[in-house]
Amino acid sequence: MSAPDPLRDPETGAYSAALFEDAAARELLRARRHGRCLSVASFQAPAGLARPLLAALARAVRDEDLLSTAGPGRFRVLLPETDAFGALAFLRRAEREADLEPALGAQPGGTVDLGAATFPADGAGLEALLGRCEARLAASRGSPARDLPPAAEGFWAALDRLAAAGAFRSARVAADDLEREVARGLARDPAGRALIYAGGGAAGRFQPLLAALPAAGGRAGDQGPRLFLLGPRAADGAEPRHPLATRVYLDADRRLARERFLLVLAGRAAYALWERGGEPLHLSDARAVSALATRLAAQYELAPA
Amino acid sequence: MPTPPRVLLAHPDAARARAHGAALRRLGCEVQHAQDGQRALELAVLRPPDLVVASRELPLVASGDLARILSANPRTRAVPFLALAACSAAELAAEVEGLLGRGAAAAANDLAGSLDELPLFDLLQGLAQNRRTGRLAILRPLAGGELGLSRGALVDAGCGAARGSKALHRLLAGRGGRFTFRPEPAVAGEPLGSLEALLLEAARRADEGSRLLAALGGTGAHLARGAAELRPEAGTAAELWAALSQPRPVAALLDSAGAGDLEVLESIAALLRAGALRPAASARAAGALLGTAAAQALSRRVRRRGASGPRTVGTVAVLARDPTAVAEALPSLRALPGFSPEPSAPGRLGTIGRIALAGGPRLDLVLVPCGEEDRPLWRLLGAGALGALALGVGLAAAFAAELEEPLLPVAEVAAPGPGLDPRGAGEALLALLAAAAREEAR
Repeated sequence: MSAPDPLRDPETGAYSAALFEDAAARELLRARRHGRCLSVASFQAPAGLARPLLAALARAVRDEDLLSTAGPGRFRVLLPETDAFGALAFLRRAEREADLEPALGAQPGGTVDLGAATFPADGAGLEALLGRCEARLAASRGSPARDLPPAAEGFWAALDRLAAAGAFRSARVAADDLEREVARGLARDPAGRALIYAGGGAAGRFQPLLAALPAAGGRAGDQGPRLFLLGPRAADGAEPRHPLATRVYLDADRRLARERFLLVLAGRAAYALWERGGEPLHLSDARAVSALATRLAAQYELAPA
Repeated sequence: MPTPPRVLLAHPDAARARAHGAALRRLGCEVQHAQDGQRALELAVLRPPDLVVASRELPLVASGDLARILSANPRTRAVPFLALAACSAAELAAEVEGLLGRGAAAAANDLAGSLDELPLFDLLQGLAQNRRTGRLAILRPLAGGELGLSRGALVDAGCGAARGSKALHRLLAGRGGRFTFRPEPAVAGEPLGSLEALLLEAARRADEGSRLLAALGGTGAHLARGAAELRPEAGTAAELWAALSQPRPVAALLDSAGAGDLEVLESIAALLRAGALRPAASARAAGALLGTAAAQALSRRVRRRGASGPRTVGTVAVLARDPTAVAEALPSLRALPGFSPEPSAPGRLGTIGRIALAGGPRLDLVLVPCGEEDRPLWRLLGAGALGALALGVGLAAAFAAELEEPLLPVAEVAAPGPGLDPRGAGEALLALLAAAAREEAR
């Protein structure tokens, strides 16, 4: 009989919490010395479903990440050289993998609770980072995204369900003004990564947003924001272009023609604006915005999400 | 007989090139003309001129590319480049005369250059190794001065009102600028000490001094006497108390006290902690907006606040329940040096204006509407801000909590009467920036 591996949790086979703390302290020193980013993520499985979650996480992590146990049904992932947007992308990837697990995917959406924190923005030490991470995991339990219908039912069904659940608030902002300000924010921090979907409304309505975007950037391999603009083609076909923006022409979608929306997923902020029957509504729950973005990308075959 | 300076004139318009060429020849220059950027590049590399004058609209190789290529080529790196705007031949001649004159003046010195490329620490070690004798002039907008060297040893230093090692430490603590070294047969004076020890001590003092100075809000921060019963009796503290018969900036206190800058800063910090001195915020408007050290600390903070990497433009979140509060605060903000408002009046959200800090970053003032229904916008518009300027009571704490940043520097403008105090917003913004700089220095 072989001796138990002291580096691994005997129940799940994941690395032990002690190894995580040791590696995290070392990576934190490295990040501090070289002025780099580092993220940690926490996951809590529904009761009795630790193994399917572990399998999903094992598929989601990169070679350089470290997946460890952190208690019953609880896992942590150390993400070296990962900024806040990278951590968000990892959480989304992990959610997608969890949805593919029959035991987890059969549950209503969002049964896995999750959170992430990034050095240096969220804390200077491991304790502070883990504290912020756990607080976000706890907050994700109250997210309206947990009650969303399966992703296969699409983007508009998810919007309707969130509205019915009271997740949206009335907004007092004009969508044009807000889109322009979002674009100006991108111009201030052109290397800042963000994923933005804007859609609906009349043809040619993206002009103010495109005009406020930063002039440079958008070459293949560049880090920075990516925008997907969904809507009908302008009548004369003449519409400004921008290297950061991917134009998706959807002329026959009646709901898209009627209802305007904006989804923003950035490292430190998530936001959704939706004009339903001319009434602007908005929310900032990161998990809900992420779920909307995932469903939008799947429904309209946008990649990469 | 000295050779005439050679000027390469790159201009696509033959008539204008003739006029400009004639004006340059009247200055005594030998002029070579190229009609496009490619020809200019060939001529410049073949035989580097003393000056390149190029039209902004050059065919084949654009003016900007020509400048970049020449500055990258070791043969032509040192050749000055003048991009020609729409100007008369006489204006061009005056510009060229100035450029060539400066070059001639520099040539009279043994060494001249930029301290960004050759830091003062390295320059002094080089001069010491070569046992040079002469005067080294340091040219900076602030903290410029002169050092005397005799056979490689430092024998004299002056910087503003400071002399000796105090001046040397101040010069070594400064950043950037230009230098010229003028050889002299002899420079009188006793060595200030071993150069290695002087440089090590200066580096330690520069580090500690910049940390203390940032915490004070920079050299432009004004101080005043505090409680009279805490008046110090002797030493540097007493000297400072005597100098503060009226509020004065930290820079003036550093000059007035006999002790080294670090000792003076330590003394100021101790007096502030004890309550014997206090900040005098109202005197700021007369001086620079913020001290250099505070502006540099803000630059560092802006770089670090980028979500995915360094950024250069920072933001300050301006919290207001409605746009009228912004309209009332604008006159006070406009009074700040370096503030430029947006051409159009802000609506419920948008950028109010921007403020450029000398030696620091550009900061955009972003309006964040603060009604309860606006809460989802707070992170979107406020994440990454240096701090929050609240145009109303009770907004800042909720905003910081929403951003999960309990230590976010905030400043509130209270409304004492029916409207905002017209001086309040500007003062509050300065207090906020100083607090953000202190937080960065901690």
